Amino acid sequence: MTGIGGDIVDQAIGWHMRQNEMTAPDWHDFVAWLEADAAHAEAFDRISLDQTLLLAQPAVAASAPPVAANDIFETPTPGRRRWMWSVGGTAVAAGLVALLMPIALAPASDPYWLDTKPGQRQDVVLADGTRIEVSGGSRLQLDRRNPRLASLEAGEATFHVRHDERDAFTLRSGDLTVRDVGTVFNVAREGRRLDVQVAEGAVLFQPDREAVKLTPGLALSAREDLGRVTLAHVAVDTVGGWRSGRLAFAGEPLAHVADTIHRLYGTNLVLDPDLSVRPFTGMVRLTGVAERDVPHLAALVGAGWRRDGERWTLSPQKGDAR
Amino acid sequence: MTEGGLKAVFLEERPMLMRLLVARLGSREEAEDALQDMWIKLDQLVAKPVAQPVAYLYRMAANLAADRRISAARGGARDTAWLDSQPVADDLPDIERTLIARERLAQIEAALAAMPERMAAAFRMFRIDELPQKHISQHLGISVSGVEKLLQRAYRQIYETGSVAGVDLAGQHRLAGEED
Repeated sequence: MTGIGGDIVDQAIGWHMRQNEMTAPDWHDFVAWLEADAAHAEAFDRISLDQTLLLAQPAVAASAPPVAANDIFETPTPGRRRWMWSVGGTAVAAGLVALLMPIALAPASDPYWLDTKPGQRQDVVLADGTRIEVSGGSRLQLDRRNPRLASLEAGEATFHVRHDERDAFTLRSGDLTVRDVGTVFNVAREGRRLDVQVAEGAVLFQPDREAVKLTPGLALSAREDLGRVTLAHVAVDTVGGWRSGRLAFAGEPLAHVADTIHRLYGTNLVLDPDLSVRPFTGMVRLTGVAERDVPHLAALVGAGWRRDGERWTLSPQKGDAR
Repeated sequence: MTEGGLKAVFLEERPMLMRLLVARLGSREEAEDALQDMWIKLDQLVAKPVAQPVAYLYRMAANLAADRRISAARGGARDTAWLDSQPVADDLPDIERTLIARERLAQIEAALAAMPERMAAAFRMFRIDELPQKHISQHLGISVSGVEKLLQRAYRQIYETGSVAGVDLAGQHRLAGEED
C-alpha cells in the first residue's frame, strides 16, 4: 500500500469524488485509467472500501454537521439518503432517492382500526371482496368508505386482493407504499422494518417512486431506519406461512423469532441475553401449543428450556461457548 | 428511457461495463456475476425515466463492485454461491460484526474527529448528505474550488489514517494484471 504514489492517490480520490456526475465518456476514461496500472485499481479500491463502509454505518453518518442555518439551500434536502438495493445478496446503491411524503387520506374517508391481541387471528372481508388474514399482535387501519386502502402499523397480514385495474389496492405502512397488481401477498411490519412477500400476481413497491415490481417468489425487506431495501427469493408456498404455523427465518436474531412466536400465539417466551442476538436461519413448524413448540424450538437452536407457569425461558446449554 | 431502453443500453455498453467490473473486482468470473446481478436488477425496475442511462448503468456497476468488495473484505467466508442459495440478502449489517470493518470504521471516525471542523463538515455534507459541491460552497461561504480542495484533503486524511488495516482490506484485492 505504501508503494502507491501520492499522485495516484489524488487521482483516485478525484475519480471517486466525481462518480455521481460523470458522463458516459468520463466513465470510459475512468475504465481506461483503472486498467492502465494495477496501482490505480488498488488505490481506488481502498478509497471505495472506506467510503462504502462509512456510508453503510448509520452511527457515523448520523453525526450532524457542526454548521447551523441550512436554510440557504435552494432545494432543501433534509435527511436525504440513498436506498441501498440488494439483489441476491449483493447490495446495489443505485442512487435512488426515495422519500417519503406524509400520508394524506382522501376527505371522504372513514378510517377505523383493527387490532388483534397476541395469539389472536382475524379474517376480514372488505366491501370489494378483498380478504385479509390478520395475524396476532397486529394493528391495521381500514376505511369504511374506501376498501381499496389499508395501512399496516404493526404485525403481519396476508392479503388476497380483488384486482381492479382502474382502482388499485394500496397498502401503506410507515412511509412506504405497496400497490397490488392482482395479488396474494404477505406484509409484516416490525418497528421500522417492512417485509413484503408475494405469492401470486404482483405488487408494486413504492409505486410512485422506484416502482419496483415484486413477482411471485420475491421477498422485499425495507429498513426505513437505515434507508435500505433488500430483495431475496422465497418459496412461494412459504409466503404467509404464519397462517399454517410454518415460519421461515433467514439470519434473524433469535429475539425476533421469539417476538414473532409471541405475536402469533401469545406465548410468553423469554430469551437469555446471550441467546437473543444469535442469528437463526431455518424453518420452524409451530402448533400454537407452547408445550410442544418451545421444546421444539429449543432443540432446533441447541438451547435449553425451562418453564415457570406461563413463562418459558430459553438459555444456552451448558458447555456452549458462544 | 423505459426499462426496455435501459436494457438495450446495457447490452450496448456490456463490454465496457465488463471491463469496469473486471478492473474493480480483479476477476472475470466475479465480473460476470455482477453483470448478472445488474441484469436482474434491471428486471426489477419498472419503466421509470432515467435521464442519463449510460452514466446510470456505470454508477450502478460501480456501486455493485463496491458492495462486492465490501463482502470480500468481510473475510471471504461467504462466497457468491453461498449468498445465492440463502434467502437472506441483508448484507451490509454484517459489516458491523466484522472486526476488520469495525476497526477500519473506528479509524475513519478518528480521522473525521481529527479534521478541522469545516473540513469534516464539508466531507459529511458531500458524502453523507450527498449535497452538490455548489451547495456546500454556499453553506460554508467559500468557493467551489475551495470546497473541492477541502474534500480532496479530507479523503486524503482518511486514506492515510491507519494504513495497517488498510493493507488487510486492500490485500484481498486480486489485481487486474494477475488475472490474464
